[in-house]
Amino acid sequence: MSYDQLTGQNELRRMLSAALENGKLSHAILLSGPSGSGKTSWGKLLSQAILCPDHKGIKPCMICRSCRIFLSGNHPEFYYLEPEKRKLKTKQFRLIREHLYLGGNTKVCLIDQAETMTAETSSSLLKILEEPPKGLTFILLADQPGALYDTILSRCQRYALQPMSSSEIYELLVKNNKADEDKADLLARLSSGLPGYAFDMADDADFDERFREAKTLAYNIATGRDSAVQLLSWAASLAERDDLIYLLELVALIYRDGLMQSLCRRGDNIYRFEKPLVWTETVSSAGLEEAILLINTTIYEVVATNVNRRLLLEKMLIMLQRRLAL
Amino acid sequence: MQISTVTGQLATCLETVEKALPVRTTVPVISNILLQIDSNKLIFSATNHEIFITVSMDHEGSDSGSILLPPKIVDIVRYFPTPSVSIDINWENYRLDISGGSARFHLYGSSSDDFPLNSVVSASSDETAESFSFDLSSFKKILKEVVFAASTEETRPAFNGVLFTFKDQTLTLTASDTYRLVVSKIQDESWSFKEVRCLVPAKALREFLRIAGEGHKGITVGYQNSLLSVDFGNIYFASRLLEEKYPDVSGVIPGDYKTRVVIERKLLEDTISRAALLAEGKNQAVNIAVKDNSFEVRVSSQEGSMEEYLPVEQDGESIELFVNSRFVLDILKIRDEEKIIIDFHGEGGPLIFRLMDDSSYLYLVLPIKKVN
Repeated sequence: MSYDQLTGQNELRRMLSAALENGKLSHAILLSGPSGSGKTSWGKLLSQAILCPDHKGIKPCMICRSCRIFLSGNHPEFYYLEPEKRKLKTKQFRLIREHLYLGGNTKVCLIDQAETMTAETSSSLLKILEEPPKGLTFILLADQPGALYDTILSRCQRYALQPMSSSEIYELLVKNNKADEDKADLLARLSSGLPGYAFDMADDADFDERFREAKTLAYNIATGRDSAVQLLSWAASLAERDDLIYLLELVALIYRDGLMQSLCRRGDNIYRFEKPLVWTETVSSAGLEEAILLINTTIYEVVATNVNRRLLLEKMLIMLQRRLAL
Repeated sequence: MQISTVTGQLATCLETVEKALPVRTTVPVISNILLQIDSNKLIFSATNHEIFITVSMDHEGSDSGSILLPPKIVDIVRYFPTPSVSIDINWENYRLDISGGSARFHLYGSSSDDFPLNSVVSASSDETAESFSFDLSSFKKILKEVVFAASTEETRPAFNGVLFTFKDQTLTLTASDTYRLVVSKIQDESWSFKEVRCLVPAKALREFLRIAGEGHKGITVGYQNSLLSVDFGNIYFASRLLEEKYPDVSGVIPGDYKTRVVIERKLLEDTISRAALLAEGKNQAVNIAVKDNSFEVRVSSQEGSMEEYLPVEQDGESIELFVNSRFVLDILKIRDEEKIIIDFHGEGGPLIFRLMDDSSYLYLVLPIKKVN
């Protein structure tokens, strides 16, 4: 993604640009932010800018040889590491390690999902972070910087990506031709400020179908129109589905939208939508808040524990209806 | 355009440059071989971004251009059935048609624009540049006598390199892994170097030794733009340098010896080899004692014990210490002199292996502190 396509993050853009211009950029940068917040895009942009001899702040020139081979994935001094089978292994790091000590040029090493480093990888990275060779910049990306070792954290200049406003995400989707205006509108309000999440939804061919299902489910629960028997059969059919997590997330996001609507005042620029996706007279903001927490807990339990999905979903649906529809 | 050539000759060129191809890389373009064609030469180049190898071969033709060849071409040419081969290059779509006899291959090359060779080729003027001519087989011998001592551990990157120090009429090579150290000096009346230090990855030098081939011929060794290059006729080899500070080793080498022995190299090699059979652990420790013109080697381990005596010419006091047998064997195997000098510097001091009547080479080993 090029510089112009990366909107938002004005604070980050300003700080990184200033640091680059004044030569104050540390040899180790940590970009943190939730998954989907744009860390990889920003990390690559920063890498390209560091390598580009004609960069203006964090804006690479896009036309020099360095930029050209960077964009074609052929920059020999750009080292990119990402987890192999969910872990960043020492073996991967060792492959590039000796190249990092070779002299002569500006080098950037971008480590995606740095928190998946094994203890061994961390300690071998630490050694080079402590005494970095000249001209080398490390950029670490992490969803949960807390999972990194303190010794690594203490050697990094830290920058955090902020959630983007829904209008920024809307703009981003339209600019990149990811969605037409109506759909961009919808995705922007569902994305909770995470552009990566919005992009994933835009790329999902079955999105419209799933969204309709999630909306029906959300509406039925909120209005209390389903009997207990119907809820139980919902639970049984949901439990079988492969895309259960995705659906639950959508339902939570739909309620989040309602919550944002009831909390924001008219004219607030965080949220620009007039009408909520699902709305009934009976729903209170407190109820929505509880509903979202409940769904998130359920998602966590489905992912992290070996539990009977159907029972879990039955409980969740009944509790949701009680919170929202009474 | 069409290139017609002798299969064997082409295969040799490709096999040589193939040595520089990266085993695994995230940079797609460098997994290819660059072919540059000018009016009378074919120039093949490859790099893993640590070393660069360029091989040229003569060729009759009028066209010029450059293309990236897929690495598969090496094996295709190697196993080609006919003694001559012709390669057709279509510059429009970088398609290669390789044919000879009834065999035909179609391959797809790619544009050479992104190939990172220009860091070598456009060797712009560099004030610290140095170069000298040398004989290939002597250069190989000198390198072999030094490279083995460089560390392969990752802990101290500087010790993964061999230090080349150019000064006046001398080139000094230094390698160490912190337990042992080699310093080798080469002098030539005709040289006059500026003072330059460059640290060459030992891995690259080992690769050089592998491709260099045999025989006596003139080579040019040069240092320029943070590259060390060796030019031997149609092959050009270059390695990037390590950008680490190499510690000053002169302080480690003690002045006067306390004990000096002169010993038959081959006899000692055989004795230590036998002793090493029983040596155990990471240290491979053997016990060495010198007294009354006798050199005693002992090992006692869980598996058993051995002892053996060698007659030596001794000068100075008696001494006894432990030393890593592998480190001693390395030097004894790599030298071919008949006699060798070993200097001892007290119980905790290092052993220094020297050549008879030749101060240009020394090998220093630290003894093992034995905790009882």
